[in-house]
Amino acid sequence: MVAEGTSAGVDKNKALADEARPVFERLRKGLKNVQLYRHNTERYPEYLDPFVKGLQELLARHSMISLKLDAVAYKLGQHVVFEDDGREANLIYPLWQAGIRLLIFKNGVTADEILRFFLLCFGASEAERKNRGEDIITQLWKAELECIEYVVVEGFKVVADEELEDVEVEVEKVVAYLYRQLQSNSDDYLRFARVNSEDLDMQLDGVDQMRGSVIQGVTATPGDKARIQQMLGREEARQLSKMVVVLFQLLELDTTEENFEDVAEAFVQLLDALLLSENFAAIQQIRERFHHSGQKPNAKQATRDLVQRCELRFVGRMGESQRVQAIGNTLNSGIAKDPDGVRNYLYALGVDAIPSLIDMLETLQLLPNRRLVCDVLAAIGGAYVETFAQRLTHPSSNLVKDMIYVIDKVNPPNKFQIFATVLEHPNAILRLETLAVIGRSGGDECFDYIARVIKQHPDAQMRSQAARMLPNFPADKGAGLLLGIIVSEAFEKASDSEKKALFAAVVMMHAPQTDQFLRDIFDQKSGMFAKKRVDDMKLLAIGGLEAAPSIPGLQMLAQVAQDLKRHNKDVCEAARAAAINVKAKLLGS
Amino acid sequence: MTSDKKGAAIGQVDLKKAQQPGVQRGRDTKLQQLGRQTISTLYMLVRNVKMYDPDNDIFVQPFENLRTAINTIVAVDGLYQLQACGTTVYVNNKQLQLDFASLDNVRFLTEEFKARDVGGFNVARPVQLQELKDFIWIFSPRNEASVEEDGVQGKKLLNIKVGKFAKIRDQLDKMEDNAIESERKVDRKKYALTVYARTIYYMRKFIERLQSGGQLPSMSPAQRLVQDFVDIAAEQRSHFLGMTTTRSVDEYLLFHSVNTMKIAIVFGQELGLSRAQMHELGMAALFHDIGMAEIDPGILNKRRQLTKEERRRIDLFPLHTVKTLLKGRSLDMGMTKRIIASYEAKVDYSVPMKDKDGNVKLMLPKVELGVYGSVINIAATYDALTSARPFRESYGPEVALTLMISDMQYKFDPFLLRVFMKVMAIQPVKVLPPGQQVISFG
Repeated sequence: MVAEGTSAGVDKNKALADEARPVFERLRKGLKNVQLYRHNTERYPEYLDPFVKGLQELLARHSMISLKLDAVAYKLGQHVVFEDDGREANLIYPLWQAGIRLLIFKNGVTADEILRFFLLCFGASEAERKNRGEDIITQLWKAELECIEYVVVEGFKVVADEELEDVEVEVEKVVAYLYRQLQSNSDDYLRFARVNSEDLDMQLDGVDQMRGSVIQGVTATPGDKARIQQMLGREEARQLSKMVVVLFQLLELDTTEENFEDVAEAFVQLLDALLLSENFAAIQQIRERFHHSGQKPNAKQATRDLVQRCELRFVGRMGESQRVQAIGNTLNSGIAKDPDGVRNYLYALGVDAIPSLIDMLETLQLLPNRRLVCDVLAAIGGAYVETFAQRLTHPSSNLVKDMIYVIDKVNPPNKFQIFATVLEHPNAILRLETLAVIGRSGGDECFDYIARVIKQHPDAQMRSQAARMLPNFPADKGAGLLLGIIVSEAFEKASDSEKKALFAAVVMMHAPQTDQFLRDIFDQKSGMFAKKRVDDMKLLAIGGLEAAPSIPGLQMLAQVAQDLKRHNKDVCEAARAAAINVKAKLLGS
Repeated sequence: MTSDKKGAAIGQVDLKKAQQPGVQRGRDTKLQQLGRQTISTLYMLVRNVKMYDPDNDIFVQPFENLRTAINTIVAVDGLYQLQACGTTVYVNNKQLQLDFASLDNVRFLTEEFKARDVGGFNVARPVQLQELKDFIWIFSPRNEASVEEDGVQGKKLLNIKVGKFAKIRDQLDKMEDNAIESERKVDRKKYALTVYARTIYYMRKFIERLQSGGQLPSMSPAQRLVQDFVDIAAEQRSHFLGMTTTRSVDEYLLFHSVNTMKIAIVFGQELGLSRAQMHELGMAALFHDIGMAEIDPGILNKRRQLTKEERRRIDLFPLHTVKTLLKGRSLDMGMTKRIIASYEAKVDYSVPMKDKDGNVKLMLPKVELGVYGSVINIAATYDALTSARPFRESYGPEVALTLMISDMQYKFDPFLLRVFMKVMAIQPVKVLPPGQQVISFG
């Protein structure tokens, strides 16, 4: 950056600004892609590559660019190079607000450095910043960007309402005190002295030199340093579990009413950290430890009371909707890695969390995770069937299926009465699936529902499906109903698929009435007046035998196929083809 | 000049805070608040004067608010000086901290200023409503006159002095450039003293707040200070470590906290820690003993035998700092590490086994303590041993190191202690005899 006092300075800054402006426009485009495709982190370098190349070329020509910051712009002198007044993901304001007033890009800056810098500014690490309790300057400092420097202009204050001048006065006093100490020449002081004020003015070039001595030495070897890094690496994974130990020590030994809130809140924040790292096992251990601590025989009653209050607070906060939703987000990222841990967590929430769990269930996409949550609901929601039943009219078919699953598991006495409401649901698949659930049960109550559907339901698919369910019921009931429908006038009006379904049910019934019915159909000869109807019935019967393969059915088909006197050619061929298929199915080929 | 027997510093300065007469508390904050208020009101007035005459009733309250704010600043500071260009706004040479939501309004205002060749204005005496109206008139579409220092023709300003845009823009540029240059040209060696002093000041404030039961100060200043310490330790290692000899008997905790941090940072540097790791270590070390601020000094400094209750309080020392740090109610990863490190810094590494002569022979490690806690344990012990306390004299560095490597060795991670010995042994404590030029450590 050249001072703009001179016209040469003005020209140079303007020329550089004109060169830099289009380069930084590429940054804007690149970051737009980063924002749009936030989850494609592996493509971030690709999105920013045009800007990176442009900046590197610019720096190769000019060796260094120093950009002043105001609240919304990077500037060279008074010339704006890049402006950002967007509310979201602003590149400039967070830096300015933190006190940064100058950014310096140096030649040799790598693509990785540029990417890391702008992603930091972009707020890509906002969540991590908050998680670590760091501001952007600390993050930039830790990033150790060799070719990107920044200058922070801020006064030193400890608390907001301090006066800068007051602080400077106090700091100067301490500086004076320190300086006086360093100038001391007393014997006592010399025993401890490592530096004096003259040393402050000395230049040291590669060696430690003080008071006439030259010292060289090796402290930690490369092996030592590597060992330290390994230790630190191992510790990273143990931080939270260590924190648990410390907090429990504090709770058991040194917590009173005065600091109870601090301790209880710390446990809740620890809970959030464990949730973030999906460490459900640790959460379970905390609950067990609470229980254990609250029962310690040698603990004072006051301590036990505090432990129990803390436990109640902890479990209560576990069930808050934002935490339950956080678990939902975790489950949506893949099959649960620790299903038992998740299950234990959700069990612990108790009945108060049922609405939150149902809300969470609505957002889940993967079936195994949905089942996991449903199992929990079924386990804790025995007395809350009505809550589940209310959701049976929900527009989300997944949720309705889940509620059916849960109610089925809870198995209340009026289960089928509840399910019957879904038989009228607008969603056809839900209707059919619920019908299947009812049909599988085989009880008298269910038979009534099935019978009602066969006779009255407006949806042909439902009627067909209901018919297929009838073999699950006692033959005396099912057979009579089936045959009654087939011989009724309504049968003639039914669709082909419905007729086939009815005949398939007849075959599967394996009741004396239905078997005789089939034999009666094949015994008829095609007369002059009812030929079509007789043949149609025979074809339907053949279709039924094919749909429900069995040995007796195969024998029947074989007889029909060979009896050219009784049956016409079409019927015989149909019977032959059906027999071949049935044989194949029975033999498994 | 001599020292007293307690090893008190030579020429001890009273470090306690002195009240500066005549300076109002919270002046900076008030100035910021009033400054922003004036900007926001000016924006509203300049925008609406495009549609309404300044004498319109809708302006009555805003003008009154503006007059009150300006005159309050004049009463406190002796003047109101506004300098504005783009989104940079200074009031009485202090840059206003603008929140993001107000930037659009500020830009509108400064663009309007610029269009009339106005960069700001000064007021040295209490201003009247009519004069403010006459100033706002400058921005009315019915004003066709050019703006001079005393306003426009027919509506001259008495107390308000208008600043020309180009001049104020140049002034602001220069102010910003000067601020940047003063940051870049800091003498790093002497800056080390300033950072040290600031840290002492910060910790003093922190402890005062703690002891008075007030809200704890933010740790952001401490983060910055530790960053500076890490940088200075890398650039000026010897000077840096040398300053750990400074201490004060009366404010033992302050200096002990800061010196422990510095020793820990140098130690961490020798161990090859990264910058981020040294920062974490430094923060943990700075606050490792903060819980002591809430302990009765009568117990800490007691010379006689402790009572059972006092002994119980002492035994809970590892938890005191934990309790204190939890008051901030913010358990992010950084704070978690600080808490664990401060707790583990007070836990002995192992259980000593002594032979028949009473010499420590075998140590059984207790638990796997973290690196930070172990480093801080060593640094804090060294600093404590070399500090005079009410109940004992200070030990010299050689004696302290000898104690740590012999009778006290069970307290420390032996691997770390070995490295620490080398680090501290490198720092010379006396001039070599003539003829001996080099001491080497393997």
